[in-house]
Amino acid sequence: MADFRLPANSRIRQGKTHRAPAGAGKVRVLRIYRFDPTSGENPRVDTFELDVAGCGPMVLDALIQIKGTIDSSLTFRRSCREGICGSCAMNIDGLNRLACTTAMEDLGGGDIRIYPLPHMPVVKDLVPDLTNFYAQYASVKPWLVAQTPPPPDGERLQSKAEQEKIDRPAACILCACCSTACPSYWWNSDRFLGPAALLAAYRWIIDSRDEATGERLDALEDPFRLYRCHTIMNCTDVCPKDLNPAKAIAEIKRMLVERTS
Amino acid sequence: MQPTVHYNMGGVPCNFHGEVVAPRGGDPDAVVPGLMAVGEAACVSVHGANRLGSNSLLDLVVFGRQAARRCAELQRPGMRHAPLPGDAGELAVSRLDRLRNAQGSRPTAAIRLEMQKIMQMDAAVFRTGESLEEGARKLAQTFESFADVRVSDRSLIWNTDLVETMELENLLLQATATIQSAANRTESRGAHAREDFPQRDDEHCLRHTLVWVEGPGRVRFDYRPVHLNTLTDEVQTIPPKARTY
Repeated sequence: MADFRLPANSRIRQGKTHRAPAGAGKVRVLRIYRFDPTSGENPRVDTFELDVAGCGPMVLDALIQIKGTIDSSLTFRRSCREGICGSCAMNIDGLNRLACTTAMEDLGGGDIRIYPLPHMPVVKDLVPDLTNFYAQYASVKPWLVAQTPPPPDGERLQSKAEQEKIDRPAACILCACCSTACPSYWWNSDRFLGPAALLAAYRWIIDSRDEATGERLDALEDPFRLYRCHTIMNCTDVCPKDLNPAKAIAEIKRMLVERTS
Repeated sequence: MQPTVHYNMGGVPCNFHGEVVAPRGGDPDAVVPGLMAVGEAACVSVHGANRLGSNSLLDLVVFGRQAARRCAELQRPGMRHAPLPGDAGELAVSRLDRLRNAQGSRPTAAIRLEMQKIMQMDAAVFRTGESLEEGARKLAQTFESFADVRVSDRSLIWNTDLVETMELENLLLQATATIQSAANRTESRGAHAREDFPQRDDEHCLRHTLVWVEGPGRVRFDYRPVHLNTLTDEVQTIPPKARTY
């Protein structure tokens, strides 16, 4: 039988182990993916035994504690530490989530495994390259397109019901948890837009003020850009904001069917 | 639960066009040509001494637009930049290099935590001259110790260790300006609540503090008057008065 392995320079090695100091209170073990692009070495998984007694409850608190007290070269994105910026999206114990809203206590008592968002090029440690992800977002023209000039003395108004339709889809923070959890995106991220960009497209398609609905649907009518979605629903499963990209994609598909029938 | 900083009142003094101003030749509103600031970096001073919740976008949306309009007014196509000195950029590059290779004994996070604790304890929501003076003294020592900072990541790719260290240097300057200015303002006004000076003192203190940080614990003060008048006569100017509950 054929034996498939990762290319030699992609195989993850066992890294360093940082032992908890003697007399540590409550110790949690974090196994963290490390990759230094300048070293020429393979990626590795470092083990940190962290005394969490002097540390906040969230996974992000633990990462900051490690960076502050054990290894300042540990690299990850973070900003708001309250689930609104989307920077600290990573794969924690096998699921894509935000480190800042994931409590260590909710992960059971075992080792906590932390990897970058899956199937993305890794810039360094837990930082994936999101260039393509952002370009795909930009490609759906995530802004208002209208020929009609705005009222001279005010804003373009919406009814409460019209606003409520876009309220949830517009709450996306572009953390990329959904797209990088999607097997279709793993296989075809060069041509499939992925759930995050499609949710953004949907948000503008159904916006009562937008006048480019037809063009927006045209741009998505493509076997790859939209139809690589096979309703796997990992996107909705992992979304840290409890949004439903899978449903948005299904709605776009329905709109495309309805306009041709 | 504990109070945290969510906004910095004050900033680079600006007029309502986003142009930076610095007192010169007796003019408190003299423009620094070509230098502009908007957002939280700027102090257009529309918020008074306490920016209330949900108003921070004003700085960006209104004055960002004003700054753009001012640029469009001042700049002409084909206008030339003033010639740069030969060593332009030298300071920025040397700073980057110095910190990237910093081999001292104090990790960035240790100095930062010390600074955070000083500011939390001594420049807290309610402060006294005593706490502010003590905090300023301790902060000067912490700032001094930055000369002994250690950065362990030497990489030029996504080096957050380096970025956090550069940010820390900025924060130490910022913290020095904040705590020294607070000690210097012997009244309570807006978000500045002095337990030893609970009243507002319009006679002596209705003015902007201008502060130059010249090094750890070393500051120089000057002042600018506060603009209290509206630009049009559509509404009456509201004189300041005591805030009571």
